[in-house]
Amino acid sequence: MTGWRLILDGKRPAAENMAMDETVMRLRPSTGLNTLRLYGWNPSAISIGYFQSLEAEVDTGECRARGVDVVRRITGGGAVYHDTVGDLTYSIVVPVDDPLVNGLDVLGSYGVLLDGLVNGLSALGMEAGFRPVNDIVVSGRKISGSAQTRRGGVILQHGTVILDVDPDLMFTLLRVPDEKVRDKMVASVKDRVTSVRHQVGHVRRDEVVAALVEGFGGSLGAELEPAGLTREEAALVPRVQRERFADPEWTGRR
Amino acid sequence: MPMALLKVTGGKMLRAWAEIADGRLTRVRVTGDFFLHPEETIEAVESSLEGVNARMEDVLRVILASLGDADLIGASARDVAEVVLAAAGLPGSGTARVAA
Repeated sequence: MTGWRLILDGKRPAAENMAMDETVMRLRPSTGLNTLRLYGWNPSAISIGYFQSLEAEVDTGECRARGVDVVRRITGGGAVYHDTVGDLTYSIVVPVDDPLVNGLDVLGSYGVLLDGLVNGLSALGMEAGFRPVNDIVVSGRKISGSAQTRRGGVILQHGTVILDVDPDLMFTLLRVPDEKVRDKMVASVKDRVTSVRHQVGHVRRDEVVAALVEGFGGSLGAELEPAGLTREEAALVPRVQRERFADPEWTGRR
Repeated sequence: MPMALLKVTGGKMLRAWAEIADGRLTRVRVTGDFFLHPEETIEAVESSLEGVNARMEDVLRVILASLGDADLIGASARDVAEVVLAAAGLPGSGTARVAA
């Protein structure tokens, strides 16, 4: 049975979180460690996809005024509001030729790597299921979204589990195409998106974490060994953070 | 720069900026919540469109060539061509909404 490293992380600023994900992926060839990291965000943050326009998607003035971080991911997909209380994020780093995902393309590997989340949410009493391309839904409503990138033969997949959601706040921070449709968009999110809290009432964050760890343990077919970053990784994180994710040029490049 | 939006069937949103001079595209930017692997391919797509005739067949041909084996998920090459042409003020099939 292949061992996996489990990083049960705390809440960090957006640029540091993204730097950790990228660093673990970049150094995977030398560390040899498959990794599952569970983490949060402090302060709350908006992350936007690699291809998104910062100016068109995010009200950066409003984010600044509310102390909300803004970061551009190295993965595609949409803008996500990571509430410091209502968001739990996971990241997985595994080589493309690992038996778990070997031969699978991006779409195929989403399903396999999301099995752990489906298992974990099901254990909490929700009828969770995978909805291609990259979502997990409960009763047809999205409770988790993920994004993946592949570099140097290594997959990084990260995504959120919505513990609690506030669409009004979300659309205060995100731009809407036109003010007249703001209410409609808020209503649409209320229809299409759900949360752990909405589904099963109040569950402590550590209970959700425990359920996900159990779920991933089963789906990865692996022993999850709690650990931190290696010395090499810990040394690289601040550089990746400074040179990429905390650099306004990177955040505003599109 | 003029901008156009295209809501792709299935939910992804493409947003493009483009200018046109003497019937040819200039300064093309394609953004949105799609996926493209490898990601850097988007820069190749954008720069390859500079100077291309602003006609669907030419734009689509150039996009397909610069995509090569890259994996575009959540939108098609034709969607990208549509939104770029719409941004340039030349709606291909009228599916893209041009926003000011």
